[in-house]
Amino acid sequence: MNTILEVQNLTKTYEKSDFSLNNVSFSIPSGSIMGFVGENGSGKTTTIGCILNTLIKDSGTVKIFGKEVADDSTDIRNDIGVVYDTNCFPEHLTPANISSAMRQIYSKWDNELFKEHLRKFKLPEKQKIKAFSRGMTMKLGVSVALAHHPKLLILDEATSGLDPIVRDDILDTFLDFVQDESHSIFLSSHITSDLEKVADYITFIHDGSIILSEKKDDLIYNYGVMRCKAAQFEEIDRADMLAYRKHDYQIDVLVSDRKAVEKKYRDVVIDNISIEEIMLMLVKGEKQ
Amino acid sequence: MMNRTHPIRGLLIYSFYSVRSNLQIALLLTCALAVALLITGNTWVYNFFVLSAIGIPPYLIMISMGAKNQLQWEKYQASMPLRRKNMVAAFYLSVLSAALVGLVLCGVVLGVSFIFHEYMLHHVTETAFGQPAYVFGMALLMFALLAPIGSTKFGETRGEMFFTVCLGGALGIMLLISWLGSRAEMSAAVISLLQLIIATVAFVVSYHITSKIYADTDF
Repeated sequence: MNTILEVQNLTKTYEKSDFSLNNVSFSIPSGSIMGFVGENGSGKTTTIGCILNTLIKDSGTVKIFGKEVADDSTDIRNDIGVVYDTNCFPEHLTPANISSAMRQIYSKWDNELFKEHLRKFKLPEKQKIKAFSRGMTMKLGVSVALAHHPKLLILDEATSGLDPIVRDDILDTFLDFVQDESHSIFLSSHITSDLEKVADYITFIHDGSIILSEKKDDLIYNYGVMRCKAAQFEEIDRADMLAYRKHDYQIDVLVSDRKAVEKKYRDVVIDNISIEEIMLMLVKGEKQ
Repeated sequence: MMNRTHPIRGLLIYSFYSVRSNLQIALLLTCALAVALLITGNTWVYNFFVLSAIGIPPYLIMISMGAKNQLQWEKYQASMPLRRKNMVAAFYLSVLSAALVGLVLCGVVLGVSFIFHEYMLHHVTETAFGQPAYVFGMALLMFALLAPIGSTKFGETRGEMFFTVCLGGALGIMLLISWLGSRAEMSAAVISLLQLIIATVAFVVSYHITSKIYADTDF
Protein backbone atom coordinates (compact mmCIF):
# COMPACT_ATOMS: atom_id res chain seq x y z
CA MET A 1 0.00 0.00 0.00
CA ASN A 2 1.45 3.41 -0.98
CA THR A 3 1.97 6.15 1.56
CA ILE A 4 0.14 9.28 0.49
CA LEU A 5 1.29 11.54 3.35
CA GLU A 6 4.41 11.10 5.43
CA VAL A 7 5.34 13.44 8.27
CA GLN A 8 8.74 12.95 9.91
CA ASN A 9 10.08 14.72 13.02
CA LEU A 10 8.06 17.86 12.41
CA THR A 11 8.76 20.69 14.82
CA LYS A 12 7.34 24.17 15.00
CA THR A 13 7.69 26.87 17.63
CA TYR A 14 6.01 30.26 17.92
CA GLU A 15 7.43 33.51 19.17
CA LYS A 16 5.77 34.69 22.38
CA SER A 17 4.16 31.29 22.99
CA ASP A 18 5.17 28.28 25.05
CA PHE A 19 3.45 25.93 22.64
CA SER A 20 5.57 23.87 20.29
CA LEU A 21 5.12 20.93 17.97
CA ASN A 22 7.64 18.29 19.03
CA ASN A 23 8.98 15.74 16.53
CA VAL A 24 5.58 14.85 15.13
CA SER A 25 5.72 11.76 12.90
CA PHE A 26 3.00 9.69 11.24
CA SER A 27 1.97 8.49 7.81
CA ILE A 28 -1.27 7.84 5.93
CA PRO A 29 -1.58 4.92 3.49
CA SER A 30 -3.58 5.54 0.33
CA GLY A 31 -7.23 4.52 0.40
CA SER A 32 -7.61 5.28 4.10
CA ILE A 33 -8.94 7.91 6.47
CA MET A 34 -6.78 9.04 9.36
CA GLY A 35 -8.50 10.69 12.29
CA PHE A 36 -6.34 13.26 14.07
CA VAL A 37 -7.58 13.70 17.60
CA GLY A 38 -6.61 16.07 20.37
CA GLU A 39 -8.03 18.63 22.69
CA ASN A 40 -8.22 22.32 21.74
CA GLY A 41 -4.71 23.77 21.52
CA SER A 42 -3.03 20.37 21.26
CA GLY A 43 -1.42 21.17 17.89
CA LYS A 44 -3.83 19.78 15.30
CA THR A 45 -4.15 23.02 13.30
CA THR A 46 -0.41 23.71 13.59
CA THR A 47 0.35 20.25 12.20
CA ILE A 48 -2.05 20.81 9.30
CA GLY A 49 -0.55 24.25 8.67
CA CYS A 50 2.94 22.74 8.45
CA ILE A 51 1.71 19.96 6.15
CA LEU A 52 0.17 22.51 3.78
CA ASN A 53 3.10 24.92 4.17
CA THR A 54 0.76 27.68 5.32
CA LEU A 55 2.92 27.66 8.46
CA ILE A 56 6.70 27.67 8.11
CA LYS A 57 8.04 24.62 9.96
CA ASP A 58 11.24 24.78 12.02
CA SER A 59 12.46 21.32 11.05
CA GLY A 60 11.32 17.92 9.85
CA THR A 61 9.98 16.70 6.55
CA VAL A 62 6.52 16.55 5.05
CA LYS A 63 6.15 14.37 1.96
CA ILE A 64 2.91 14.19 0.01
CA PHE A 65 2.70 11.69 -2.86
CA GLY A 66 6.40 11.05 -2.15
CA LYS A 67 7.49 14.66 -2.75
CA GLU A 68 8.53 17.22 -0.17
CA VAL A 69 6.12 20.15 0.16
CA ALA A 70 7.51 23.65 -0.47
CA ASP A 71 6.21 27.03 -1.66
CA ASP A 72 6.68 26.04 -5.30
CA SER A 73 4.95 22.64 -4.94
CA THR A 74 1.90 23.80 -6.85
CA ASP A 75 1.57 20.42 -8.56
CA ILE A 76 1.22 18.71 -5.15
CA ARG A 77 -1.35 21.25 -3.94
CA ASN A 78 -3.38 20.68 -7.11
CA ASP A 79 -4.08 17.20 -5.75
CA ILE A 80 -5.05 18.34 -2.25
CA GLY A 81 -8.49 19.51 -1.15
CA VAL A 82 -8.62 21.54 2.05
CA VAL A 83 -11.55 22.34 4.34
CA TYR A 84 -11.07 24.56 7.37
CA ASP A 85 -13.43 24.94 10.31
CA THR A 86 -14.52 28.45 9.30
CA ASN A 87 -15.74 30.12 6.13
CA CYS A 88 -12.61 31.11 4.22
CA PHE A 89 -14.28 32.66 1.18
CA PRO A 90 -15.05 36.36 0.82
CA GLU A 91 -18.66 36.85 1.91
CA HIS A 92 -19.77 38.83 -1.14
CA LEU A 93 -19.07 35.89 -3.45
CA THR A 94 -21.58 33.32 -4.65
CA PRO A 95 -20.68 29.66 -5.33
CA ALA A 96 -20.82 30.51 -9.06
CA ASN A 97 -18.25 33.29 -8.52
CA ILE A 98 -16.00 30.88 -6.64
CA SER A 99 -16.17 28.42 -9.50
CA SER A 100 -15.19 31.02 -12.09
CA ALA A 101 -12.12 31.96 -10.05
CA MET A 102 -11.16 28.41 -9.06
CA ARG A 103 -11.05 27.22 -12.66
CA GLN A 104 -8.17 29.67 -13.16
CA ILE A 105 -6.32 28.25 -10.15
CA TYR A 106 -6.86 24.46 -10.15
CA SER A 107 -5.75 22.61 -13.27
CA LYS A 108 -8.37 19.87 -12.76
CA TRP A 109 -11.27 22.10 -11.67
CA ASP A 110 -14.49 20.41 -12.77
CA ASN A 111 -17.41 22.81 -12.87
CA GLU A 112 -19.95 20.04 -13.51
CA LEU A 113 -18.70 18.09 -10.50
CA PHE A 114 -18.88 21.27 -8.41
CA LYS A 115 -22.49 21.85 -9.49
CA GLU A 116 -23.27 18.21 -8.74
CA HIS A 117 -22.02 18.65 -5.17
CA LEU A 118 -23.99 21.90 -4.83
CA ARG A 119 -27.14 20.06 -5.92
CA LYS A 120 -26.39 17.14 -3.60
CA PHE A 121 -25.96 19.50 -0.64
CA LYS A 122 -28.91 21.67 -1.77
CA LEU A 123 -26.76 24.80 -1.98
CA PRO A 124 -27.97 27.74 -4.13
CA GLU A 125 -25.46 28.52 -6.85
CA LYS A 126 -26.20 32.24 -7.05
CA GLN A 127 -26.75 33.22 -3.44
CA LYS A 128 -24.09 35.24 -1.63
CA ILE A 129 -22.12 33.31 1.00
CA LYS A 130 -22.94 35.88 3.67
CA ALA A 131 -26.52 34.55 3.63
CA PHE A 132 -25.34 30.95 4.20
CA SER A 133 -25.72 29.14 7.53
CA ARG A 134 -22.67 27.51 9.10
CA GLY A 135 -23.74 24.12 7.80
CA MET A 136 -24.14 25.48 4.27
CA THR A 137 -20.73 27.16 4.46
CA MET A 138 -19.05 23.92 5.48
CA LYS A 139 -20.86 22.01 2.72
CA LEU A 140 -19.65 24.64 0.27
CA GLY A 141 -16.09 24.17 1.55
CA VAL A 142 -16.39 20.41 1.00
CA SER A 143 -17.84 20.97 -2.51
CA VAL A 144 -14.94 23.25 -3.45
CA ALA A 145 -12.40 20.82 -1.98
CA LEU A 146 -13.81 17.91 -3.98
CA ALA A 147 -14.42 19.73 -7.28
CA HIS A 148 -10.82 19.62 -8.49
CA HIS A 149 -10.43 15.82 -8.22
CA PRO A 150 -8.02 15.78 -5.26
CA LYS A 151 -6.28 12.62 -4.12
CA LEU A 152 -5.85 13.82 -0.56
CA LEU A 153 -8.42 15.68 1.54
CA ILE A 154 -7.16 17.60 4.55
CA LEU A 155 -9.94 18.62 6.91
CA ASP A 156 -9.36 20.81 9.93
CA GLU A 157 -12.32 20.43 12.31
CA ALA A 158 -14.58 20.44 9.27
CA THR A 159 -17.48 18.86 11.14
CA SER A 160 -17.29 20.84 14.38
CA GLY A 161 -20.29 22.98 15.28
CA LEU A 162 -22.57 21.17 12.82
CA ASP A 163 -25.79 19.38 13.64
CA PRO A 164 -25.80 15.55 13.41
CA ILE A 165 -27.72 15.53 10.11
CA VAL A 166 -25.26 17.82 8.31
CA ARG A 167 -22.31 15.95 9.87
CA ASP A 168 -23.72 12.68 8.63
CA ASP A 169 -24.14 14.08 5.08
CA ILE A 170 -20.54 15.27 5.06
CA LEU A 171 -19.14 12.05 6.55
CA ASP A 172 -20.99 10.00 3.93
CA THR A 173 -19.38 12.16 1.26
CA PHE A 174 -15.95 11.40 2.76
CA LEU A 175 -16.68 7.67 2.77
CA ASP A 176 -17.66 7.89 -0.92
CA PHE A 177 -14.41 9.72 -1.62
CA VAL A 178 -12.18 6.96 -0.21
CA GLN A 179 -13.96 4.28 -2.23
CA ASP A 180 -11.22 5.09 -4.73
CA GLU A 181 -8.10 3.32 -3.41
CA SER A 182 -5.83 6.16 -4.54
CA HIS A 183 -7.63 8.65 -2.26
CA SER A 184 -6.96 9.42 1.40
CA ILE A 185 -8.34 11.75 4.05
CA PHE A 186 -6.61 13.41 6.97
CA LEU A 187 -9.44 14.40 9.29
CA SER A 188 -8.70 16.49 12.34
CA SER A 189 -11.49 16.53 14.89
CA HIS A 190 -12.30 16.40 18.54
CA ILE A 191 -15.67 14.79 17.78
CA THR A 192 -14.54 11.24 18.40
CA SER A 193 -17.89 9.72 17.34
CA ASP A 194 -17.25 11.02 13.80
CA LEU A 195 -13.87 9.35 13.76
CA GLU A 196 -15.27 6.08 15.09
CA LYS A 197 -17.68 6.14 12.18
CA VAL A 198 -15.25 6.81 9.33
CA ALA A 199 -11.58 6.57 10.32
CA ASP A 200 -9.27 3.66 9.57
CA TYR A 201 -6.40 5.04 11.65
CA ILE A 202 -6.42 7.26 14.72
CA THR A 203 -3.55 9.50 15.78
CA PHE A 204 -3.71 11.26 19.15
CA ILE A 205 -1.85 14.51 19.71
CA HIS A 206 -1.40 16.14 23.09
CA ASP A 207 0.71 19.20 23.99
CA GLY A 208 2.29 19.18 20.53
CA SER A 209 3.42 15.53 20.69
CA ILE A 210 1.96 12.39 19.17
CA ILE A 211 0.98 10.08 22.01
CA LEU A 212 -0.57 7.26 20.02
CA SER A 213 -1.07 6.32 16.36
CA GLU A 214 -2.89 3.06 15.66
CA LYS A 215 -5.44 1.37 13.43
CA LYS A 216 -8.92 2.21 14.72
CA ASP A 217 -9.94 -1.45 14.82
CA ASP A 218 -6.89 -2.27 16.95
CA LEU A 219 -7.89 0.46 19.38
CA ILE A 220 -11.49 -0.67 19.58
CA TYR A 221 -10.92 -4.43 19.65
CA ASN A 222 -7.58 -4.69 21.47
CA TYR A 223 -7.62 -1.78 23.90
CA GLY A 224 -9.67 -1.96 27.06
CA VAL A 225 -10.18 -0.42 30.44
CA MET A 226 -9.73 -2.35 33.68
CA ARG A 227 -12.12 -1.26 36.45
CA CYS A 228 -10.04 -1.90 39.57
CA LYS A 229 -10.34 -1.45 43.29
CA ALA A 230 -7.31 -0.04 45.09
CA ALA A 231 -6.03 -3.45 46.15
CA GLN A 232 -6.42 -4.87 42.64
CA PHE A 233 -4.64 -1.87 41.19
CA GLU A 234 -1.60 -2.50 43.40
CA GLU A 235 -1.30 -6.03 42.00
CA ILE A 236 -1.26 -4.99 38.37
CA ASP A 237 2.05 -5.20 36.57
CA ARG A 238 2.99 -1.62 35.62
CA ALA A 239 4.17 -2.86 32.22
CA ASP A 240 0.56 -3.77 31.39
CA MET A 241 -0.71 -0.23 31.98
CA LEU A 242 -0.69 2.58 29.44
CA ALA A 243 -2.37 5.08 31.75
CA TYR A 244 -4.71 5.13 34.74
CA ARG A 245 -7.27 7.46 36.31
CA LYS A 246 -8.25 7.40 39.95
CA HIS A 247 -11.91 7.96 40.83
CA ASP A 248 -13.53 7.96 44.28
CA TYR A 249 -14.13 4.22 44.55
CA GLN A 250 -12.43 2.88 41.44
CA ILE A 251 -9.29 3.15 39.39
CA ASP A 252 -9.56 2.84 35.60
CA VAL A 253 -6.55 1.39 33.86
CA LEU A 254 -6.00 1.66 30.11
CA VAL A 255 -4.50 -1.49 28.59
CA SER A 256 -3.46 -2.19 25.01
CA ASP A 257 -4.02 -5.98 24.92
CA ARG A 258 -7.40 -6.68 26.44
CA LYS A 259 -7.43 -10.42 25.82
CA ALA A 260 -4.01 -11.01 27.36
CA VAL A 261 -4.93 -8.92 30.40
CA GLU A 262 -8.24 -10.77 30.80
CA LYS A 263 -6.33 -14.04 31.05
CA LYS A 264 -3.77 -12.57 33.43
CA TYR A 265 -6.17 -10.79 35.84
CA ARG A 266 -9.27 -12.99 35.99
CA ASP A 267 -10.91 -11.20 38.94
CA VAL A 268 -10.81 -7.71 37.38
CA VAL A 269 -13.62 -6.38 35.18
CA ILE A 270 -12.29 -5.29 31.78
CA ASP A 271 -14.57 -3.24 29.53
CA ASN A 272 -14.44 -2.25 25.90
CA ILE A 273 -13.28 1.32 25.42
CA SER A 274 -14.34 4.09 23.08
CA ILE A 275 -12.00 6.47 21.25
CA GLU A 276 -13.20 9.29 23.51
CA GLU A 277 -12.37 7.30 26.64
CA ILE A 278 -8.90 6.44 25.30
CA MET A 279 -8.32 10.15 24.61
CA LEU A 280 -9.43 11.09 28.12
CA MET A 281 -7.28 8.41 29.71
CA LEU A 282 -4.21 9.42 27.71
CA VAL A 283 -4.69 13.14 28.24
CA LYS A 284 -6.05 13.31 31.79
CA GLY A 285 -4.77 10.05 33.22
CA GLU A 286 -1.42 9.37 34.80
CA LYS A 287 1.09 7.62 32.59
CA GLN A 288 3.33 4.67 33.36
CA MET B 1 -8.99 16.86 -18.19
CA MET B 2 -6.43 19.56 -17.40
CA ASN B 3 -7.24 23.28 -17.58
CA ARG B 4 -4.57 25.81 -18.30
CA THR B 5 -4.29 27.76 -15.06
CA HIS B 6 -3.75 31.47 -14.43
CA PRO B 7 -3.55 31.73 -10.62
CA ILE B 8 -3.11 35.50 -10.54
CA ARG B 9 -6.12 35.96 -12.82
CA GLY B 10 -8.11 33.70 -10.49
CA LEU B 11 -7.18 35.83 -7.49
CA LEU B 12 -8.01 39.02 -9.42
CA ILE B 13 -11.45 37.60 -10.14
CA TYR B 14 -11.90 37.01 -6.40
CA SER B 15 -10.75 40.53 -5.68
CA PHE B 16 -13.18 41.96 -8.22
CA TYR B 17 -16.15 39.95 -6.89
CA SER B 18 -15.31 41.00 -3.33
CA VAL B 19 -15.71 44.69 -4.14
CA ARG B 20 -18.13 44.47 -7.06
CA SER B 21 -21.20 45.89 -5.33
CA ASN B 22 -19.23 48.85 -3.91
CA LEU B 23 -17.51 49.36 -7.27
CA GLN B 24 -20.90 49.58 -8.97
CA ILE B 25 -21.91 52.42 -6.62
CA ALA B 26 -18.57 54.17 -7.22
CA LEU B 27 -19.01 53.77 -10.98
CA LEU B 28 -22.50 55.26 -10.83
CA LEU B 29 -21.16 58.25 -8.90
CA THR B 30 -18.30 58.65 -11.38
CA CYS B 31 -20.70 58.48 -14.34
CA ALA B 32 -22.99 61.09 -12.74
CA LEU B 33 -20.00 63.39 -12.18
CA ALA B 34 -18.81 62.78 -15.76
CA VAL B 35 -22.22 63.81 -17.13
CA ALA B 36 -22.28 66.86 -14.85
CA LEU B 37 -18.78 67.78 -16.01
CA LEU B 38 -19.70 67.45 -19.68
CA ILE B 39 -22.80 69.61 -19.17
CA THR B 40 -21.42 72.29 -16.85
CA GLY B 41 -17.66 72.28 -17.40
CA ASN B 42 -17.39 73.26 -13.73
CA THR B 43 -13.86 72.98 -12.30
CA TRP B 44 -15.14 71.78 -8.90
CA VAL B 45 -17.04 69.00 -10.63
CA TYR B 46 -13.80 68.25 -12.47
CA ASN B 47 -11.93 67.85 -9.17
CA PHE B 48 -14.53 65.50 -7.71
CA PHE B 49 -14.74 63.51 -10.93
CA VAL B 50 -10.99 62.85 -10.95
CA LEU B 51 -11.05 61.83 -7.29
CA SER B 52 -14.02 59.55 -7.83
CA ALA B 53 -12.68 57.89 -10.99
CA ILE B 54 -9.10 57.26 -9.91
CA GLY B 55 -9.10 57.43 -6.13
CA ILE B 56 -12.15 55.50 -4.98
CA PRO B 57 -11.73 52.09 -6.73
CA PRO B 58 -8.21 51.41 -5.31
CA TYR B 59 -9.44 52.69 -1.94
CA LEU B 60 -12.31 50.14 -2.01
CA ILE B 61 -9.88 47.33 -2.80
CA MET B 62 -7.62 48.40 0.07
CA ILE B 63 -10.62 48.41 2.43
CA SER B 64 -11.62 44.91 1.27
CA MET B 65 -8.16 43.71 2.33
CA GLY B 66 -9.14 44.55 5.88
CA ALA B 67 -12.43 42.62 5.67
CA LYS B 68 -13.24 40.46 8.65
CA ASN B 69 -12.51 37.09 7.04
CA GLN B 70 -9.51 38.27 5.03
CA LEU B 71 -7.07 36.34 7.23
CA GLN B 72 -8.98 33.09 6.68
CA TRP B 73 -9.06 33.78 2.96
CA GLU B 74 -5.27 34.34 2.91
CA LYS B 75 -4.78 31.07 4.78
CA TYR B 76 -6.95 29.31 2.21
CA GLN B 77 -5.03 30.94 -0.65
CA ALA B 78 -1.76 29.69 0.84
CA SER B 79 -3.10 26.13 0.65
CA MET B 80 -4.06 26.48 -3.03
CA PRO B 81 -1.76 25.60 -5.96
CA LEU B 82 -0.14 28.99 -6.22
CA ARG B 83 3.03 30.55 -4.87
CA ARG B 84 3.05 33.16 -2.15
CA LYS B 85 4.47 35.72 -4.55
CA ASN B 86 1.38 35.12 -6.74
CA MET B 87 -0.78 36.22 -3.80
CA VAL B 88 1.26 39.42 -3.42
CA ALA B 89 1.24 40.08 -7.17
CA ALA B 90 -2.55 39.73 -7.25
CA PHE B 91 -2.91 42.28 -4.42
CA TYR B 92 -0.75 44.82 -6.17
CA LEU B 93 -2.23 44.19 -9.61
CA SER B 94 -5.78 44.61 -8.32
CA VAL B 95 -4.98 48.07 -6.92
CA LEU B 96 -2.94 49.06 -9.97
CA SER B 97 -5.60 47.93 -12.45
CA ALA B 98 -8.38 49.71 -10.53
CA ALA B 99 -6.38 52.96 -10.61
CA LEU B 100 -5.44 52.48 -14.30
CA VAL B 101 -9.06 51.91 -15.35
CA GLY B 102 -9.95 55.15 -13.55
CA LEU B 103 -7.10 56.96 -15.29
CA VAL B 104 -8.26 55.80 -18.73
CA LEU B 105 -11.87 56.78 -17.92
CA CYS B 106 -10.61 60.16 -16.82
CA GLY B 107 -8.68 60.63 -20.04
CA VAL B 108 -11.71 59.82 -22.19
CA VAL B 109 -14.15 62.06 -20.28
CA LEU B 110 -11.69 64.97 -20.09
CA GLY B 111 -10.97 64.63 -23.81
CA VAL B 112 -14.69 64.91 -24.59
CA SER B 113 -15.17 67.77 -22.12
CA PHE B 114 -12.48 69.82 -23.93
CA ILE B 115 -14.60 69.64 -27.07
CA PHE B 116 -17.58 71.21 -25.29
CA HIS B 117 -15.71 73.54 -22.97
CA GLU B 118 -12.54 74.98 -24.39
CA TYR B 119 -11.77 76.92 -21.22
CA MET B 120 -11.52 73.54 -19.42
CA LEU B 121 -8.41 72.89 -21.46
CA HIS B 122 -6.94 76.12 -20.17
CA HIS B 123 -7.91 75.29 -16.58
CA VAL B 124 -6.43 71.83 -16.75
CA THR B 125 -3.17 72.79 -18.44
CA GLU B 126 -2.58 75.84 -16.26
CA THR B 127 -3.79 74.82 -12.83
CA ALA B 128 -4.68 71.20 -12.57
CA PHE B 129 -2.86 69.40 -15.33
CA GLY B 130 -1.39 66.99 -12.88
CA GLN B 131 -4.49 66.20 -10.87
CA PRO B 132 -5.22 62.77 -12.40
CA ALA B 133 -1.52 61.92 -12.09
CA TYR B 134 -1.57 63.24 -8.52
CA VAL B 135 -4.56 61.11 -7.47
CA PHE B 136 -3.15 58.09 -9.30
CA GLY B 137 0.21 58.58 -7.57
CA MET B 138 -1.51 59.00 -4.19
CA ALA B 139 -3.33 55.68 -4.62
CA LEU B 140 -0.11 53.85 -5.53
CA LEU B 141 1.88 55.51 -2.76
CA MET B 142 -0.72 54.83 -0.10
CA PHE B 143 -0.89 51.16 -1.06
CA ALA B 144 2.92 51.01 -1.24
CA LEU B 145 3.00 52.05 2.42
CA LEU B 146 -0.02 50.05 3.55
CA ALA B 147 0.69 46.62 2.02
CA PRO B 148 4.03 45.78 3.69
CA ILE B 149 2.88 47.08 7.09
CA GLY B 150 -0.44 45.25 6.81
CA SER B 151 1.42 42.02 5.99
CA THR B 152 3.26 41.99 9.30
CA LYS B 153 1.80 40.68 12.56
CA PHE B 154 2.18 44.24 13.86
CA GLY B 155 -0.01 45.70 11.13
CA GLU B 156 -2.54 42.85 11.14
CA THR B 157 -3.88 43.83 14.53
CA ARG B 158 -3.91 47.57 13.92
CA GLY B 159 -5.45 47.73 10.45
CA GLU B 160 -7.60 50.83 10.82
CA MET B 161 -4.89 52.84 12.55
CA PHE B 162 -2.35 52.01 9.84
CA PHE B 163 -4.87 52.80 7.13
CA THR B 164 -5.10 56.36 8.46
CA VAL B 165 -1.34 56.60 9.05
CA CYS B 166 -0.58 55.42 5.49
CA LEU B 167 -3.10 57.86 4.00
CA GLY B 168 -1.48 60.69 5.98
CA GLY B 169 2.00 59.43 5.08
CA ALA B 170 1.23 59.30 1.35
CA LEU B 171 -0.31 62.78 1.45
CA GLY B 172 2.70 64.08 3.38
CA ILE B 173 5.18 62.66 0.86
CA MET B 174 3.22 64.13 -2.08
CA LEU B 175 3.09 67.55 -0.41
CA LEU B 176 6.80 67.39 0.38
CA ILE B 177 7.62 66.64 -3.26
CA SER B 178 5.32 69.48 -4.29
CA TRP B 179 7.00 71.90 -1.84
CA LEU B 180 10.51 70.89 -2.91
CA GLY B 181 9.47 71.17 -6.57
CA SER B 182 8.09 74.69 -6.02
CA ARG B 183 11.30 75.76 -4.27
CA ALA B 184 13.24 74.44 -7.26
CA GLU B 185 10.87 76.49 -9.47
CA MET B 186 9.53 73.46 -11.32
CA SER B 187 6.28 73.77 -13.26
CA ALA B 188 3.11 72.07 -11.96
CA ALA B 189 3.32 69.51 -14.73
CA VAL B 190 6.91 68.57 -13.89
CA ILE B 191 6.08 68.30 -10.19
CA SER B 192 3.16 66.00 -10.99
CA LEU B 193 5.39 63.88 -13.17
CA LEU B 194 7.99 63.70 -10.39
CA GLN B 195 5.32 62.68 -7.88
CA LEU B 196 4.08 59.98 -10.23
CA ILE B 197 7.58 58.59 -10.80
CA ILE B 198 8.34 58.49 -7.08
CA ALA B 199 4.97 56.82 -6.33
CA THR B 200 5.59 54.21 -9.05
CA VAL B 201 9.08 53.43 -7.76
CA ALA B 202 7.69 53.16 -4.19
CA PHE B 203 4.99 50.80 -5.48
CA VAL B 204 7.54 48.49 -7.14
CA VAL B 205 9.90 48.54 -4.12
CA SER B 206 6.94 47.88 -1.83
CA TYR B 207 5.95 44.83 -3.92
CA HIS B 208 9.39 43.28 -3.40
CA ILE B 209 9.34 44.03 0.34
CA THR B 210 5.86 42.52 0.75
CA SER B 211 6.91 39.43 -1.25
CA LYS B 212 9.82 38.91 1.15
CA ILE B 213 7.51 39.33 4.16
CA TYR B 214 5.01 36.84 2.71
CA ALA B 215 7.73 34.27 2.07
CA ASP B 216 8.23 33.94 5.85
CA THR B 217 4.67 34.56 6.99
CA ASP B 218 2.65 32.03 8.98
CA PHE B 219 -0.94 32.04 7.76
